[in-house]
Amino acid sequence: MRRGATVKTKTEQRIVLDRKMVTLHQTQTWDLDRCVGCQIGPLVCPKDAISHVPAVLENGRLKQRASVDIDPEKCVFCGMCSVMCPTNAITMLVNGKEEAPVQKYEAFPLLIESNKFNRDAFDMSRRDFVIENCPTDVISYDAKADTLKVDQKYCIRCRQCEVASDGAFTVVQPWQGSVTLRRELCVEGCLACADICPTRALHVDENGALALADYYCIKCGACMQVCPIKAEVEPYEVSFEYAGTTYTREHERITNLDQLPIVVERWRVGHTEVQSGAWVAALIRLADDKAGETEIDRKRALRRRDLLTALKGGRSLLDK
Amino acid sequence: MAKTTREIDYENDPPRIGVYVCHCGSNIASVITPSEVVDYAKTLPGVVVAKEHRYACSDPGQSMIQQDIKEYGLNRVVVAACSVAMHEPTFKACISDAGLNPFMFQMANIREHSSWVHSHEKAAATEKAKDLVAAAVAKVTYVHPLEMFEVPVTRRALIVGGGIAGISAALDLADMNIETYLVEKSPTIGGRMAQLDKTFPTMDCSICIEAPKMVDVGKNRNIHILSYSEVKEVNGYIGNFKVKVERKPRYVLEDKCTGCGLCAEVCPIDVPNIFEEGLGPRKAIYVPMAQAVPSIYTIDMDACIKCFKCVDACGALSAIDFAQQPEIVELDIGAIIIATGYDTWDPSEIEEYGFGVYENVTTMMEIERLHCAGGPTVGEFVRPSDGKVPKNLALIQCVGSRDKRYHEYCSGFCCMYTIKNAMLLKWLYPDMDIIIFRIDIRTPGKTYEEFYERAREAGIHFIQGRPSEIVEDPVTKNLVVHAENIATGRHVALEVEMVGLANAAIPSEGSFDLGRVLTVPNDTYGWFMESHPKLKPLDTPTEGIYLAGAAQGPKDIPQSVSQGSGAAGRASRVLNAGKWEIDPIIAYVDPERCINSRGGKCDICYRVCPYGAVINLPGTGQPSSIIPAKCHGCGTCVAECPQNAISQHHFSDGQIVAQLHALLAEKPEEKVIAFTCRWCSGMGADNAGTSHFEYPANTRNILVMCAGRVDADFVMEAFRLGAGAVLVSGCHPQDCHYISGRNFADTRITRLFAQLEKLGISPGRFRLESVSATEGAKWARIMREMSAVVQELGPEGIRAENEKALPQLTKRLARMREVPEVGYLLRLADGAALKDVETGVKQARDKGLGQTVGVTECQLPEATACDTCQLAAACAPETKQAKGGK
Ligand SMILES: Cc1cc2nc3c(=O)[nH]c(=O)nc-3n(C[C@H](O)[C@H](O)[C@H](O)COP(=O)(O)OP(=O)(O)OC[C@H]3O[C@@H](n4cnc5c(N)ncnc54)[C@H](O)[C@@H]3O)c2cc1C
Ligand code: SF4
Ligand code: SF4
Ligand code: SF4
Repeated sequence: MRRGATVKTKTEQRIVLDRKMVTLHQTQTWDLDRCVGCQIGPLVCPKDAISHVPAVLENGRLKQRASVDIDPEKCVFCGMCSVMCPTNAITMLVNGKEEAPVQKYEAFPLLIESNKFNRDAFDMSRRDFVIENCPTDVISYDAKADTLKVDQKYCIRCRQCEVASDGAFTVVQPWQGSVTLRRELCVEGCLACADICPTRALHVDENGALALADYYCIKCGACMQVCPIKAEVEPYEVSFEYAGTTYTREHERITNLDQLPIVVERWRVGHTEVQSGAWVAALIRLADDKAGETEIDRKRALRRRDLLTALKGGRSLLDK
Repeated sequence: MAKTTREIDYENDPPRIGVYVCHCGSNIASVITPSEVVDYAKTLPGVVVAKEHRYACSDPGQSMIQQDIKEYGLNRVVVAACSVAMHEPTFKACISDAGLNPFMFQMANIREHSSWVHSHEKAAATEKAKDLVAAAVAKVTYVHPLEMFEVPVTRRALIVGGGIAGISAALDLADMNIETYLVEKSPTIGGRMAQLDKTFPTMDCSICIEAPKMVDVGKNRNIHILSYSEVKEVNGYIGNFKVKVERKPRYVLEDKCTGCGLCAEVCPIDVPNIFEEGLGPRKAIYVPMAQAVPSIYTIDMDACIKCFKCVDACGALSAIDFAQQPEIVELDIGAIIIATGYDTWDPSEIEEYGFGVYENVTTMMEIERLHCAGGPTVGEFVRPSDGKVPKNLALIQCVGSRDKRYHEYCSGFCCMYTIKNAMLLKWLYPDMDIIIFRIDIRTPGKTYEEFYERAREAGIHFIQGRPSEIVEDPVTKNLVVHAENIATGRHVALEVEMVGLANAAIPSEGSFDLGRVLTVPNDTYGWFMESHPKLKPLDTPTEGIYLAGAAQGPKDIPQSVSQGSGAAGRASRVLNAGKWEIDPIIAYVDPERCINSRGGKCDICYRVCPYGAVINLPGTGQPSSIIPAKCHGCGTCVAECPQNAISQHHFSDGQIVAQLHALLAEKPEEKVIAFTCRWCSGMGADNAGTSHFEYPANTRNILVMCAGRVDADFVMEAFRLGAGAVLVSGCHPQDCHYISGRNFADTRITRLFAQLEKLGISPGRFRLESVSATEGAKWARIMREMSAVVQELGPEGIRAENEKALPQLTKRLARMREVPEVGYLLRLADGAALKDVETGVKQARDKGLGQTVGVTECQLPEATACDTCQLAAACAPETKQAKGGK
């Protein structure tokens, strides 16, 4: 083996790629406990280094989560996956420091996302509930300052805290889009998507039925991956222009949308301005091609109107 | 070679043969009794004089032959001495000087094939020598005078590999005003020398002395660098090669890139730089090193994420083109030089040393980069695990060299570079303790021993012993080297902070493939083989292709540079000549025997010819014909033609059958006949001789150009004559000197296996083998095995088998007897009156022979595309058009 070769180690909990030269040391870590197998990594990777490992279902429940595997020969340590991972399962280090080279060299934007806490608007009696309620356990109580703190690195922007705190937390999600559940299409008795959903947007309600609270959804799409009714796709080419040259990218489009019980569409993502073919290509593969402006606007209006109802009942808009 | 005189009527005068048996000092005479061979030769038909000489190749030896030619009016000469590879050209020149046509000559190899391999069977070795002489006399009786074939020479050279050897060759050729293409597979020329820090024994900075030469190459008007390119296809022959070079897409336009490097500054991707041995990174868009020539960037598409940041950075220069495609450049070339150098072997195969597992075990090339000021650490020598300067260092030599498990050979330059690196580090870090584990120190170069002496004086320790194991301390990452100190006989367990391995040099990746493309043989490891290790060290066995530098075997810089110049000299000999003579031992068709002239639709010869030399017009009533300049003389078509309509000059059916008859005249059932090709197998048999690998003396060789020439009829004729066993031996199929000749032999001979077995010939009595030029041991083993089969069956058993097969064999050989020359010979052998048949053979010769020899002008029938003919240079455009070509 040559020096500078990528060494892969894989355990139940994590996959680590390690590439050590004398003057440069790169590592890329996939935290498999955080990974929900959402397919965003495989879609975004420009070198097709990430492959999807399908979930295992048993009697409509998740026996083993969907996940990923990595080809160490192909990964070039660009850091695109670590930027885009919705559950922050991927961490890239350069010489021991967290870094995404694509961002450092402005070949990739910063995503516009945040979670801000307004102490004054918070009713401290709800403290324990809010901390408990966070699906990713990133909220903690800072006794000295008598305030709540969020571990921003691992916050997945699901907005559970926003609702639980009655608006003391304000969360900005990077992705906008839609999620649609049509239970009538579900396989009888299946609750697999509720098992995988990292935000509890999909959950089992008091009656033991599958329910969707779409306000929490972060558009990761993990639910579609575990759903036993699979999307059928056809490939198509998208072309885009860059610096006067036209390039084409392969993309896939779902052809049986009307048969899928759960459909997630990603329309747009908030990001800083960049000039980069890699970003354009990533967007082409991540965002839905049908995401027309009118569509976005209609849903947005709907959401604004019904926001409060949705917040309180935690129930799906489209269910009504 | 001087032209033959015309006074001798070779075709009609009876043969007057002189036989000369060489002692080769004691090399031959200590085993074989030359006088016995001479006396025997005198009894052979046609022999008018037979003599012995201590050194036939010496001046007096050659004068003796030349004098006899005049005195006895000889028209044919046989020399029984050493290998054709050694002295055939010598004696051909000798008789030619005395006015004979050089092809009226035959050599019997009684040294490599007899005295050197049968030293324990002196009487049998002498008997074998007699048989070999008889066979040579038989063949020379039937040879015809041939004129060398004159071909035009394209005055343009191709050099493959832009290391210091290729650079030296290119500059020398350019100085002679010869247009030179330098093909380099990496993005820059410079080769390994560019990676080195200082060079032994003078300790001057490597890149500082090489870079000016690289720049000279880049600027020279006569040199065209094709970097990031590979040779894909080579056709043709000396003076007239057609070469296809693939230019890999670098996605940067050579004419627009100024080498400013702005693109690399914005590229987000870092991957290990191979030039830095992976110790440091480079970008996805890169030049391997600052001094690169040409100074043009390349995008590594395996690493690129297509962010197009570089496109923006390049801006108005617009030098980046993601749409670039591979491009094929076609070149007409007169001579080729192989200078592909070496690679370093990956020592992780030696698990005991832990390279690739223990971070602080490094290779010596890594050490070069680590203390080089241009390297990734800007010259600070640190160990990989913690980036600190090690206090002590063990250097281990012969890692994977001189080791039967990996490579038996010595990598040549490791002793010297190990000492060099030790000295350099001692200069830089006087407190560093440096220990070298060695087997022997080999310092044969000029001032090299003095260099070694200086190292010892500088306080570098040498321990004699090959370490058995290296063990890492998982906490400190220090290493314990275990070895047996041969001087003291004691076990050493030495803890050091870092280890450097002098890992073996191996042939460049792709050497075998390149060998195949060029039809130049590689040895078992992949090093390119020279035509003769002593007398033609820069020539390959393929004419017009030469060797320089480490491509031929490990060589240091002074040797590589000398060879580069030497190879340039060898190549310019051809390139400056304008015209070149090549062997006329080509195939030709007897139009009357070709079935296509009677409306047949046969295309066998066309299909088997590896060089597309056959013009085949089935169904038109036109006989097939062979383009002389395109024929390489493998003889595959000759053997395949079902009509026996094709013959080969100097290797005709008649000549080969004559040899067979001579070899099997007595006690045939005890003999093993071996048909070998001229290249790998023939050289392998010679190699058994030079290595003195003994094998039984009942073995007899017949040399043809390629295994593809061995007609099934020859094998059957051998068994008909009562042979004990028959071997057909060629190169390993992938090494075949005629691309696919060996493969056709395979198909043909495999078919014959089943047929002979049916006739009752025991399986072990007929074999097909591949022996490479270095596999002398294998050759000896095959000979021993086949002799054992013959011995086991015994003469009675063999005679019984042969008798049973005889009627069928005779029947199947009927067609071969129709070949005029063979018929003539067989009738002679069967005792028919000589007078009757002589007219017959004369007619045959009139037809067959006068046909194509010495043709440099197009003699093609109306062909649709005569642009395939490589005589194109000699063919005027009007003629071409008249013949329907382009
Ligand atoms: C660690 C180390 C230290 C050394 N130190 C010294 C020293 O101090 N002094 C000294 O005299 N010698 C030294 N040497 C030896 C020196 O490197 C060689 O003598 C020299 O490089 C040989 O030159 P070359 O041109 O024959 O081959 P190379 O330098 O190997 O060049 C061959 C070139 O051909 C190219 N190539 C290969 N295959 C192909 C192909 N198929 N098509 C096109 N191009 C191809 C390669 O990319 C390369 O550029 C050292 C060697 C090592 C390993
Ligand atoms: S770092 Fe880049 S190349 Fe590697 S897996 Fe992530 S997206 Fe793919
Ligand atoms: S519902 Fe939303 S958050 Fe939950 S798995 Fe599906 S896409 Fe991800
Ligand atoms: S397009 Fe490729 S080579 Fe150019 S900057 Fe981006 S990664 Fe580097």
